[in-house]
Amino acid sequence: MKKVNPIDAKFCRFLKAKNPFGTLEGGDNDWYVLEDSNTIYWCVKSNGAGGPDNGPVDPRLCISGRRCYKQRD
Amino acid sequence: MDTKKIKLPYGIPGHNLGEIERDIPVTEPPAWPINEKLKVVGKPVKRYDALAKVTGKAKFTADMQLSGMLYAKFFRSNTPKAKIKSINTNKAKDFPGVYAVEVMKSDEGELPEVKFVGQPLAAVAASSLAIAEEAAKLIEVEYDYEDFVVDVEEAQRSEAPIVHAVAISAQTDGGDVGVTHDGSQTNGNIVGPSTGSFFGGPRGSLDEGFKEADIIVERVYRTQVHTHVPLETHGVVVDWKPGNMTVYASTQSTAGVRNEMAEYFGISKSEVRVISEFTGGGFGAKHSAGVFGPMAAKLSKATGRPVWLMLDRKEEHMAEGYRPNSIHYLKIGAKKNGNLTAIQQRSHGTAGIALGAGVGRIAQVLYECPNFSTEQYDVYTNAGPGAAWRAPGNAQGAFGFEQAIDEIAEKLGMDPVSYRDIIDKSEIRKVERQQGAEKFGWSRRKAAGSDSGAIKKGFGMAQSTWPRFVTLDSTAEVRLMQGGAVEIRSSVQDMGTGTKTILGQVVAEELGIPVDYVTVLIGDTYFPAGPASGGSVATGSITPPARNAAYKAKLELLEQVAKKLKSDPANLTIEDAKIFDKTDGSKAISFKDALQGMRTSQIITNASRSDDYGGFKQEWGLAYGDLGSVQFAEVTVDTETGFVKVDKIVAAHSCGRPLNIAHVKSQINGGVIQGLSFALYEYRVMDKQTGFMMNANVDQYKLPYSMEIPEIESIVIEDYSGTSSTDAYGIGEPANIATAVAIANAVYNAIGVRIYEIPITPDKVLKALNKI
Repeated sequence: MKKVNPIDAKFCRFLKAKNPFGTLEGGDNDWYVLEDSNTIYWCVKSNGAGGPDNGPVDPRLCISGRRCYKQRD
Repeated sequence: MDTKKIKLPYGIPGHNLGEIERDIPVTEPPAWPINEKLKVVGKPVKRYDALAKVTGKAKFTADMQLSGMLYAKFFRSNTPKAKIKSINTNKAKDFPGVYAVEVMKSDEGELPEVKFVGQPLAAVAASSLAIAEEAAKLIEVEYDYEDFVVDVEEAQRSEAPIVHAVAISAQTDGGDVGVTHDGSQTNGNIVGPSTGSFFGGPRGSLDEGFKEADIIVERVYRTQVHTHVPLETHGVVVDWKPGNMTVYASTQSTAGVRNEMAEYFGISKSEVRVISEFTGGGFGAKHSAGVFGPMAAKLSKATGRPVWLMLDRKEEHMAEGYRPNSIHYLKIGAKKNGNLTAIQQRSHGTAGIALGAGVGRIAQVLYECPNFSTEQYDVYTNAGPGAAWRAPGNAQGAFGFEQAIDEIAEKLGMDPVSYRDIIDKSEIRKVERQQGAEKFGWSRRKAAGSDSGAIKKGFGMAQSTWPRFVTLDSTAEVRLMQGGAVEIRSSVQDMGTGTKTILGQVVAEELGIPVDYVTVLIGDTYFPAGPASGGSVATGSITPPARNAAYKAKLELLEQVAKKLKSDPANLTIEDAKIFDKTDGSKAISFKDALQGMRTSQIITNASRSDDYGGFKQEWGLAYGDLGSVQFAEVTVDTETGFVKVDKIVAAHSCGRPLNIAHVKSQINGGVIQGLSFALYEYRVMDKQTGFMMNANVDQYKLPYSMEIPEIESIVIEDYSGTSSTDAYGIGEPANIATAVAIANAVYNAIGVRIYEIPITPDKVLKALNKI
């Protein structure tokens, strides 16, 4: 995955990530997704790697349109 | 921003040290010389909290005791995959001493599906931990059981149960979700591949590269699931009073926990205060509020009391992260002159129900190679989620890659160190190889398997790289107070690495005072925002602001003192806690007297991390250069029993300007010990029939004990790059990457047979030797 613009990507506001290089992403923080093969994702709302809809937490899926999606402010 | 030109040390002392001229912000201090000319920085200053820790006075989150505090315990699933028909908490609620029971539910009231053994489903708050534990056992769940898979290879089969068998539907008003991930339209549990990286990624043509190659090495390497095992488990104490939630957290990121708690409950960040005075290790897994944070807060809100919710070791193993495993295919081509012509990488690994099981960037960037491709796949399994683990992916990736490089060297008839001299363009690793080989006695190494007798000696080495990253949202505040107190404040936390002490050293050096004059107040989100402690970013992020804030405070103080001494402030300096006029030594005052005479009771200054002098590779904080390391391992292998004993590790490292040589060496020791444990001991055992982790303890989950820890000699090489006012970087990640593969290479040198899977347990050695 390439560096993404979170507005264009329409990531859910509750999608969070820690990239392997220590940066926390999501929420108020910018998204970089520098190396998605080692980036850990979680949902703040469900407190884990499964979303509130029980689907996987994945930046390819935690975007506008998903049932549990919440827009960033 | 106004700038000024200064000259800074640049290069490696004793090798190529020079100077570089940089434009820096006018508000920042002049360059420090190299460490040997400094009084406090670089020296082995004793940890601020050493006495408190060794005497037990240090209060970790688990030690918190607040008035009226309740103790909470999770109720967790005992099946790896099921839908929940119902949860009955009545008996638990009625148990004497229980104050509240909370069930995990979505905002819409939906119960979660169970996807791994140990998944938290509810929690009980009671007057004691024992009561909470007893009451939690009374919670009754009616499951609709489903098929599951915990093995990474079985999970890849087409008939394997789908871990996330949930159709993700679009909202009724439309939307952008174009993928339905129910397993049927994708590759089952396989996600990916990830084919690129910001730091490397695909390039050239593999076909062309392999055509050019004179030799090719093609292997599959396997690494195991490796849990974190910090001394202090995950957990929090939450005290939620109206308008103010206080969270005592064992965390690597006070700000991260604060932000998540605010987001979860939809409250202002200013209503949440996160405090982490001491954290007993994290190793990458303690960045979030977790499930325990919001749960403890809900229980606190429900009861009006503080709630303690720390996990036990079993919960820690099952549910709070681990280093994912890897099945790592590598095909590498090289010419007779050693130059690499092509690298093909493909990996599969599992982070359980989560993502992030790649093997990192080592193969992509360690050596120049014009033709490269990578495919890194995640494989979902019904196990708890993985987490970042000290250099995520890199230790796994290095285990394969640096063995393959050794194999190429052997095929070319070259010594492994000499071969890396040819293919490695890094100047710092060149120096590390030279000094490391000399200290280690690399010349003792003989041909693989040539030692006679049953007990064989072996010598191996390996290398690694780690990027220099900084978090720009890093601020420090310095206070000078009448009465003589000097404080530095930041929300950055110290998870045991020594952050408190290096901040004290930096401020003391800048102010020309002893380090014990400085009080370090960190780990509290009421202080200015500090970085997370992860990715080896904290030191490079927060120490420049600390120095710069101290410099500003010093200028203000000297301005005031100059009026009293009738001096030009520019002529004043501070040395050994004495302020004096460089042009007239009779004009002098002690530092403490100067503070006593300030016109206000406090001077308060702050500074945030400025951009690197000379700029970044990327504007968001990727610095130029890298953190290289080279490690050497000496092992003894008993070919009758298969036991491997690591006798010695020499670890040569760089972290820019080392701020506290004792702390750096301590970090290297820790990284090496964890690397050794990765190589020889630790591995998670999952029961395929039940989905349980069978060794979720510290008895059968083998960690090294003292007699299994070798002599560790570290070489810390100063490497100045003139990038900030401290020019310092972290060492946490680099210390851990190369150890396991250096040991694997040494085992090969001992027995003459390569072992492609860790941990290298006796059975693997005997199998490799065809003895079982």
